[in-house]
Amino acid sequence: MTLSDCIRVLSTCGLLFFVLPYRVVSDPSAGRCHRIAAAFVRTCCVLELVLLALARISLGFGGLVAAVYLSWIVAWALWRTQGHWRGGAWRLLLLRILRAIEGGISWPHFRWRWRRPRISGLASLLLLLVAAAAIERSSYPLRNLRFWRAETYSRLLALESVARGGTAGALAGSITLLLPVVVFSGSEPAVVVRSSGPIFAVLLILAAGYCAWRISGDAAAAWFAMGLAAVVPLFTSSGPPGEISAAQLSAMFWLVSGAFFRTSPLDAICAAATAVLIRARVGIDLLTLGSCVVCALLVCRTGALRGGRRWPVLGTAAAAFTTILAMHTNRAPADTPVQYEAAARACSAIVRQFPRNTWMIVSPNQELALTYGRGWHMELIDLVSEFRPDDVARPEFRFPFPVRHVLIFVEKEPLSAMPAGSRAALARVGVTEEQDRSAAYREDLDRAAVEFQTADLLAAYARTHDDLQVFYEDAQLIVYQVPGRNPGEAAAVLHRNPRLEQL
Amino acid sequence: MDGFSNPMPAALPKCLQPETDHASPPLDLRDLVVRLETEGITAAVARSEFGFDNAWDMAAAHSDRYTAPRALAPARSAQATHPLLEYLRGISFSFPLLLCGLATLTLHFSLWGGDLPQDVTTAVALGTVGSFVVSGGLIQAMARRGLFCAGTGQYRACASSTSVFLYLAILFLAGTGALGVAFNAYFGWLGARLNAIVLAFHFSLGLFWLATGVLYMLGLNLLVSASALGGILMVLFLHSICRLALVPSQICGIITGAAIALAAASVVLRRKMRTDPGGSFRPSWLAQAYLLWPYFAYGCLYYLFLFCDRWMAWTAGAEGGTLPVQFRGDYEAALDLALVSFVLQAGLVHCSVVRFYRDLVAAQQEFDIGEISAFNAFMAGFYRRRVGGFAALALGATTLVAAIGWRAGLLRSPVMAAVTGWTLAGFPFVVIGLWNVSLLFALSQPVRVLRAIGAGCVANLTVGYLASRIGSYPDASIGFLAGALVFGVLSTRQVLTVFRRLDFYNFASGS
Repeated sequence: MTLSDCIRVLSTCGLLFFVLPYRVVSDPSAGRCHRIAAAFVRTCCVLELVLLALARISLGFGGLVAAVYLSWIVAWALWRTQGHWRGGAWRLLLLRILRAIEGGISWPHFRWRWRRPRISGLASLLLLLVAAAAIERSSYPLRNLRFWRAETYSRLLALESVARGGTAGALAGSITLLLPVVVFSGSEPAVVVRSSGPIFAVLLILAAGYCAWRISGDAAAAWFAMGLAAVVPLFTSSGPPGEISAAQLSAMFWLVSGAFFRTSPLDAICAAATAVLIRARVGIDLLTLGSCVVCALLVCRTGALRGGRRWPVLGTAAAAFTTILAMHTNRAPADTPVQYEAAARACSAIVRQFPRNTWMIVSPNQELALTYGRGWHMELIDLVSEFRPDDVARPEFRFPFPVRHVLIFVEKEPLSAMPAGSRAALARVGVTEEQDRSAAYREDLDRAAVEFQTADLLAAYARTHDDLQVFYEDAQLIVYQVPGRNPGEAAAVLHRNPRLEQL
Repeated sequence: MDGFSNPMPAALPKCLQPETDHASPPLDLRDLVVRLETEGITAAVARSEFGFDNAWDMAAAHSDRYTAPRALAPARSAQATHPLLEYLRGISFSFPLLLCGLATLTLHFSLWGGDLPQDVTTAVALGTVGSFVVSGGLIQAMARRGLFCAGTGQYRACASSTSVFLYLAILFLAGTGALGVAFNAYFGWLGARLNAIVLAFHFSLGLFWLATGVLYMLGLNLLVSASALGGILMVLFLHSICRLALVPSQICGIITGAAIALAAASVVLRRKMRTDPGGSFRPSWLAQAYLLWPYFAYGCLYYLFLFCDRWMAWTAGAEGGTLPVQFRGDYEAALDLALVSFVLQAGLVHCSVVRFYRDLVAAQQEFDIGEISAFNAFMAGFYRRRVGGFAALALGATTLVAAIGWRAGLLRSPVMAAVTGWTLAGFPFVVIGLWNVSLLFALSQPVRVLRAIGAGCVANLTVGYLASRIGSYPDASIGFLAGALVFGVLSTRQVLTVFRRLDFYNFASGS
């Protein structure tokens, strides 16, 4: 992922969830922070409700998603200005614009003078904390194309599937908010999932601070809660905290609901409903974040953040938080990965290099999520169960796939050989039982055996064919490239082979 | 000083000043009175500042300002031609399409399209649709202004207005093309090569439609066919003789066709300008924009309406293809078949508009000033009779086309049968909508048209999108039927509303 991808997704998220809703959805008489939070919560709640319903009936198409979002914004804008545009006001406005253009625009009217903003000491500390947290949270996604959690692959697959009118699966609630971002940013779903992780991770920190601030009315308590929410997951989470889970997303809305509980019950209900729709079960993440907020409130209650002790305490805490965040930036996560980074990068190169749907990847199911909708995918286990080395060794043999290029991923050092329960994580990846080939890995063959059989198969093929090429190779992974059949020649194969899934 | 000063003689209103160079001098006494009142010369002002009893007396005193009425262009009411000729004139817009169809059948290529790879065909189709939608609005606005000038014999004004519109159109086509490139770069839909093809066809075909629009505006319908023929011959020369690739040959052919059309229009306009002693057209263009924007919007929306079902069909179920947009040959073939029925029906629109003008003038002369209700009822009866005529023709044309399609075995494919069926059902409503649009434009009620065509577009898009996504791509044609239904019904409702007070709207429009 490049920085430009990240900025693109960030600006789209900002526009869709904050700028536009702030202008039209929120109550203009309320305070700025309340307006921003209320607009965000209302927009998220409506999108979650409607888009989840559409996803459940396989109608999460881009056009409908865009229509739902724009209808929501336009409906609010019309409601706010009701009666204003009646009686030919449109014509009057047009006439005024034309007259203004014809008469010339007085540019000094638009002159804008830069004024140095006055920022308080606490606001400076807050900005420092947010910046440090944003850098730490985005360090992993900016350096890696793979994901760390198996759940993220499943969420990505669900997002890809829903965006193309497919079924949603159990994780639908956690991806519906990303659907408008995919549509309006024009980015690939994988990029959106990767970039939205740090964005929502920072929002999670801000939600903790907002909750503490609304309850205590003390900005210092808010800052302290944010600091704890930024630092604590570094020690409690096994994966990179910039890769946010459904439970964490749900926890964020629970915190906002808690913040609105006393002052704005409707918004509190909206936030709670969104949290439940994302994930009905309350997890450990909410308890952790709730503890951070409670801890900050207790510190505030003891008076440590007031009076003469305020700045020494805040300064020490700021130094501690920033140091911890800086130490964890670029640090590899503790758990084991579910995909080689080289495999993810090979997928990205294939997507960029070959025209859409003219190629097929044969690999375990992690590559499926990264290439969904742009090419074809076949499970490695299906390849070795369908072809025998004796068959492929015949000189006249050609892989019967109706694509130009077949790319076969073989792990020289199979991931499943690694310890620490990654096999269980691998087995969980997949959106539906039908698509979940990982069950076969679990039950009959383990990953290493499949990789070995694939290598054996390709060795037999290479003995009699000179068209086997190496697309990528390193110490752990090799990607072979073999030609497929002419799409026109072998079109029927696609229908005959039920295991060849169109992705 | 006694505190009073002699009143300064009031300056004459602009319309009475001898040095004023009017692009269109007053036609008669009533015209001059209207101009005086427009300049604020009420009866009180005429009495206090100019010494006349009222504006009528003041206008009568300056009768020299209108004593040489301009020779009007032959009134349409006077052109009592045979209905069959009018009908042929009405369907003449399809002659270039017929030529292109014949070229495709015999040469396997035409001005656009032909034997091209799937991705290039898609790019050409996108460029063609874009050119229609963008140039459609400009042609409407240009024709509205040009027809007004030509209808009042102001050919110099017509020429200058048309040339300004053409410059604007070139800028607009370039601007929309750049916008399209930017969108494509942002969303990554097509590669650079295909994007260039889309852009080339968008620009060249846009120019061609604009140039032929000028010819239609001048009533030179056959010259449109000649320019299309010239373009096809250029493609034939470049592709078959010079062995140039088909796409660049077609772009050259389209530009040649546009050049022929523009040259012909220029020659005709220059010839007509010799009879016009008036000045060129120098209005405030922003004021013109204010007056003409509904016509521009209608042109864009109408072509959007015609093409949105294709847009839905091309993007539905395209996940398995190499592009996110897939041109569907069978869908297009079915639409072409149904288009024959549309052409047969659309001819009656022109006849009916001619008849409307003729009957309106006759009814104005027949009914007394006290018989306004009878006048309105008479014209409403005329409208209903014409709609009945449309219905009968639609039934005949639809049955004929369906029978031909069935006999030729074209409807055996489920896609062809479904798309042809839905679009054949929709075209009669489109034709009635077009008839209504002609009437509402004649009565200067373009905003009412926008409501109908806008709602039609929304219905077409919504129903077509849902149908093609829930079902498959041929179901996008259901959206076309829904949109046509909405367009036809809403525009009819608007016309009936206007016809209840036709006397007022007719006077207000100045027709």
